[in-house]
Amino acid sequence: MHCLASIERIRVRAWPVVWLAVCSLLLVITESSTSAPDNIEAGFDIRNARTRLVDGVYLLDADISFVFSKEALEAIENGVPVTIILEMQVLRQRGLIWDNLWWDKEIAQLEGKLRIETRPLSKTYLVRNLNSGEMQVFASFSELLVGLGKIRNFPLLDEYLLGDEGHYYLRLRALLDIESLPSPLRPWAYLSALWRLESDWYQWTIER
Amino acid sequence: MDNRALKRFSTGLGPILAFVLLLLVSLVLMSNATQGSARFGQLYSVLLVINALGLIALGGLIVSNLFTLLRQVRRGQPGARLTVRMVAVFVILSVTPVLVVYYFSLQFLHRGIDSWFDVRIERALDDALELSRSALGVRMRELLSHTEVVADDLVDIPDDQIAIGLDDNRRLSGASEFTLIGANGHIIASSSRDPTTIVPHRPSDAILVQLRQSGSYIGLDSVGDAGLNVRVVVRLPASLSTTEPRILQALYPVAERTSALAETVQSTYAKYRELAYLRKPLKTSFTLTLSLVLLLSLFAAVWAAFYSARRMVAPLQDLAQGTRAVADGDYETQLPESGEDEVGFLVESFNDMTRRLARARDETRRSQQQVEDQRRYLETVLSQLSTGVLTLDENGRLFTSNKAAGQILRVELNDESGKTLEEISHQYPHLHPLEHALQAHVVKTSPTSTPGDDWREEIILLGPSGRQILTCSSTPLSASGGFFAGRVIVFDDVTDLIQAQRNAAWSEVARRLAHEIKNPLTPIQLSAERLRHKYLGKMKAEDSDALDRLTRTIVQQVEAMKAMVNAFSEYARAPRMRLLNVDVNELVTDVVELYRAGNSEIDIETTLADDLPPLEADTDRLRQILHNLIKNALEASPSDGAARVRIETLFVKGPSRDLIEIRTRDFGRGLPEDMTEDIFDPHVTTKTKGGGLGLAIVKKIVEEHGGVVWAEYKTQGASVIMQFPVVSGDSLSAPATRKQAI
Repeated sequence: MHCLASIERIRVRAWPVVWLAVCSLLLVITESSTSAPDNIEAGFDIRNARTRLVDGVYLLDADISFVFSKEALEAIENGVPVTIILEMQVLRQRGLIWDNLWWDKEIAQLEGKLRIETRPLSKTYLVRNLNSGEMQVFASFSELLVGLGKIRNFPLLDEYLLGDEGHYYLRLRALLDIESLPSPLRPWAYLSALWRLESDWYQWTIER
Repeated sequence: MDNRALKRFSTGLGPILAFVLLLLVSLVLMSNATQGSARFGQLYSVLLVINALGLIALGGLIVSNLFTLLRQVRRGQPGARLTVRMVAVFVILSVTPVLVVYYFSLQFLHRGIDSWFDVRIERALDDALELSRSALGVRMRELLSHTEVVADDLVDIPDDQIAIGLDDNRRLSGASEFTLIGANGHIIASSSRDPTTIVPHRPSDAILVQLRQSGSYIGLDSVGDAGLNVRVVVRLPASLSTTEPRILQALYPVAERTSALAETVQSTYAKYRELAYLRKPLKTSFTLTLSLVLLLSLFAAVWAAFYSARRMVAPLQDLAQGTRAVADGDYETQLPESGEDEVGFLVESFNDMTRRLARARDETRRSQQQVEDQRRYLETVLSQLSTGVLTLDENGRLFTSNKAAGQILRVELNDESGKTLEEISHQYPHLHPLEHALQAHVVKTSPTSTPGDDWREEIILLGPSGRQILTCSSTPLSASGGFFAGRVIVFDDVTDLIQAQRNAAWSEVARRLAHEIKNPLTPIQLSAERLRHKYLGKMKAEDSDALDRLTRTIVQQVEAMKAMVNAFSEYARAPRMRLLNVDVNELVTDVVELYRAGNSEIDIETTLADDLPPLEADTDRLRQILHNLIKNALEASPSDGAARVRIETLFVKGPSRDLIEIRTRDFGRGLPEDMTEDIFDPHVTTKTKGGGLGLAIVKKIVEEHGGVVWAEYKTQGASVIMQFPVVSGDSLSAPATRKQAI
């Protein structure tokens, strides 16, 4: 009987503790995703994007504004390589309704990866195109942002991949690749909004 | 998969061990990923999620176990409290060392990571980088000066010869590539050490911006596959030959050794900076991994505690349930075997015990069955006996009785079970003589002495159907050990036997009387008549009167004696009966009418049953019975006023056979109670006249018809009741058989 009473007591006392723990966890998650008001403007934004048909190949020109959060900047400055993903989708419009992704057919999906590294010896920044292996050196981070945001003549797809008829449109977005961060950083990067840097989808029709 | 199989799967040792092992492997992989292993680095997030989910599942399993256990405790299920105690002990024993190890591991981990970082190493790396920069800086400044000199030289060279000039200067300076670029970015001329280079390396926009700002650019760049190069970009001074601003880019290869060293210093520095930056997340990651391992260990230990406690308590629970089942009378309970240990021995002993109990119970049942069979057999035998048997327990209370006992005593003895004979005789006063006889013997053999020997006695009861003579005997019953356990009383109703004996004796008397007395009567009568005839005329007048009177008396008395002897002869005679189907009502009406017609002062009431079946009887003899009874009744009636007789016929449905009852009742003085049986004997009469054979003949005829007759005393008058059995139509055709049956 004594034992039973003890268990009852424990059960009764345990509930507030459990609730407290759950509430604290929720608070921590909410806090981490909404804190740092000074970094509220951090994020990527696609200002402009268009395609040109040159010699049977569609080339992409885009202007993207990259504003890194304090955490991301700190990581880059401390030699942590950060990868930016340019995600592109070519879709064929099937219905009359615009932007109906469930219905529209995906023709092609491309992913461009750009890795930002620091060169401590020369105090420069290196942007490495992981798809082509091409490298660009920037003397300062502001120059890097300008250079990174100006995408010109990015070969997208061959003309023949698109059919003779139909409406095609393109979607583009830029995001920070959390999976390419060093593993110790990843859990916090997933939990923190400061690391979740990504633009909205920018969408436009492919002119033919 | 049904619920039980699912439960067995989810709580079985194998699946859970496999699950824990998988989680452990997953944690090892995660630990590798934390330490920077490229192979598992990609899977880190997935592994983290898998481990977290696995631990949540394991935690859920434990919580479910805990709730089940608490429910069992609340229900008071056997073994639940023991399980709680064992789980608590196991958990404390396993969790405490794990927590201690966790604490110290965490300490060591944090210190270990901190020990990677040292201010001196950091300083040394900074210095190494600075030294590299300085070493390369001197060389870079020289190369800038040299390039500026080359640029000055190129100013005066015409455009058609500039390629040669450029090539000469490149060779002289030891550069790998010289490129002259125009204002709009077009390449004017280029010279490369590598003859395969078709397109020279262009300066980036950022370099051009810096060139515009500061007039020159110098930097260490990794150019294509050529490794580390010093890139120098300078503006050409203005000249007369051309107005467009031109720039010269020179790429100087860094010595291979220097390049390798610089690259090493740079990469090491960068790696160290990255590591220093990741120090906190790394600690957190390791702590997270360690915590997951701790939680896995804890959960596994707690689950193992539940599992082993359940395993250990299960046989005890089985034992408790088995004991309860045995207590409830289920001796077939067999517990599953549980190993070779002490508990196993206990379980085996329990199973052995239940087997023995079951065997003993079966034997007891068999014995009970045998006793029951024997008892039933005895009961059947006793119930078929015409002898009454009563058994009394040691307190004199009625224990058992057979059917004949109830019939003889005219008492429903089944309702009287458990009562003493005294109590029964209070309710049935005619049993007093039996009770008195028993009391007399019990007193003679008081409880302090031996319970009494056998005794035998003839008892006369005056029951509702008349006097009964019982021969009664009693024997004490002894229980095992020789103790007094009661008494058995056996009795027979010998009334009919004695009566039959008496009747036979009377018949013999009558026959002898008829034979011995009748013969000399005729000679006496004849002699008396002859004496009268011969001497009456010859005597004197006074003598002849005397003779006449005397001889007349002799003749009259002889006539009377003859009549008496004839009556006796009639009683003793057993004439052959002529059986016919007689309507009793009709016969009664005929007889009564004879009396009514003869005398108006006679009042005979008749109440006749409507549904009376025909009676198989000898009409003449039945008529004689009615005559005798009516005559008796009339004679018993008071002399003043009208003689009153009531005759009733009834149909009585008996338990074994149907009966026709004829009752005659007079309204005279009645009968003394002790004469109700004797009145049917010859020469027993309450009347002043008659030979006393009327009722004896009635009885004889009734018995010849298989019936019974008895007299009942009333406050005013007496009744004679006769009952005749009604024979069913089937047996009418076989009178011999019927007679035998009667």
